[in-house]
Amino acid sequence: MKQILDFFSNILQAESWPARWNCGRWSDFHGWLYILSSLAIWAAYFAIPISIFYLISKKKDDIPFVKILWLFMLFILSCGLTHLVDAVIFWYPAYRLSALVLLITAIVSWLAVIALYKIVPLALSLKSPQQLNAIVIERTQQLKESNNNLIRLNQDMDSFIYSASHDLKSPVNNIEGLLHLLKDELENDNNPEIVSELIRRIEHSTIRVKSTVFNLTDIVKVQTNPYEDVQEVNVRELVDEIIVENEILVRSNETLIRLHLDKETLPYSRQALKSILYNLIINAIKYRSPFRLPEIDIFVTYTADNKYEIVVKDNGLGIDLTIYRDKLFTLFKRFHDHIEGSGIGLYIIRKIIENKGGTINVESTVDGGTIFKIIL
Amino acid sequence: MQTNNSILLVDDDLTSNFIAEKIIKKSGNSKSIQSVKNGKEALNYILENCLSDYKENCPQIILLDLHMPVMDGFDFLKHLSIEMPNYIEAFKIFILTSSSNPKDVEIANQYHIDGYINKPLNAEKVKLLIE
Repeated sequence: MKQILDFFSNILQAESWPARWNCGRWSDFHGWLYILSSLAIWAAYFAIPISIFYLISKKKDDIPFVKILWLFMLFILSCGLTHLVDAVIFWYPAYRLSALVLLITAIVSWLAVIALYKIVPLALSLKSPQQLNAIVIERTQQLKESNNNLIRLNQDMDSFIYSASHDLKSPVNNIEGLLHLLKDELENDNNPEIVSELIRRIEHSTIRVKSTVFNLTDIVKVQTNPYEDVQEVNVRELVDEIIVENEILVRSNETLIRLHLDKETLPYSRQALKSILYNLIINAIKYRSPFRLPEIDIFVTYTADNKYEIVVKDNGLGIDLTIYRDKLFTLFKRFHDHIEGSGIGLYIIRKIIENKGGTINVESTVDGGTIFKIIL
Repeated sequence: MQTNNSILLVDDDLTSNFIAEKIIKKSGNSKSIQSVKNGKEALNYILENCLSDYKENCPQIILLDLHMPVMDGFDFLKHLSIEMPNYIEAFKIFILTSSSNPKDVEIANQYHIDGYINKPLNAEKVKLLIE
């Protein structure tokens, strides 16, 4: 303890030893070689941290591991200091100070070793400029793709708005035309038969406006994937419900609906599944063949890859897919003109299914029937 | 003013056809008005009535809707210009539509058409197209 106290209290004292020049036999050349080399090392070890400091101060936010760099600067500075002290000892033999400087250098060196050890895994994970460049190129490509997607979505939106406005304007234009005719009729001939015919048509067009607005609401709703009520849906019950709600249509066409169910229930939004089956069943009846009674077969299969497949097969008019395949599921497209339709049913079905990650496909034979295959 | 124009309405909207028919009749400018529900029916009508020697019912004016099931107005124009290139000039073809999509105008203008009329048809518009 006394030695330690003595060491620190006399840290700068040099009386206990001869200066190094006088210790042993140094030739001038040998001594100055030692001294100048030590000073040169010290100067270099002083310049390196200054360069690093300059670098850090300029690019502080871009350089990783700034704390380690500070430690390095300290490490190099203290190494340099040992060489300075080594040179000074030729005239001023402060060996205590020399030992202290060595101790400080040893501590800082080991701190640097430990810190370096800690950051090695992190440093290894850093990307090289080439790797970063490749990532930038890949991300740019992704951005371009999503930009193209947005452009396409925008175009879809545009054509949706024009289609919607067309479908709304058509009956409104009719109402306008009919009102002109009605006014004219009332002012001139005032034939009660024509007047009531015109009023009947105005009423009909008004209903069309109303149902178009309802359809548009449905379309907007289906965009946001509202069907969250996932539950075990009993398919047989659901089909019965659809039949009861559309009894007049089903009965008057003497429709035969057969169910072929692997499982009675399947997990899905009840409302969504009802919408899907409703549209397919009603379509099958509406576009029935005039030469035979409508028959609809509904298959529910549990597939090998744990998915549910629903197949709805009818014996109706069929669709010429060589012409209409691309347009089949698009909004406001209709393929038969002898039956009133809005052109939104299949669009809504596809939206619901795809929003939930499923697919829908169609096979059809003109005048043979249509098969819709849905993977939920 | 001519009074012997026969007119073919091509539109799946039967009420629209009803209105057009009434208004054209009232204007007294047409001896015959026929209506068909889509482009395909219109092509058939033209085949039946314009290619024979007896052309009484061959229309001079065609009022064509654009958006129709089975065959729309664009496909009708395409078929007509490909299959009956000599005839297309013989008709006055007017687009009669509720569409305000500039793309529709653009596509229709690629074919031989004589005008683009927004619905509803009224007496003034009839006057314009007959002249």
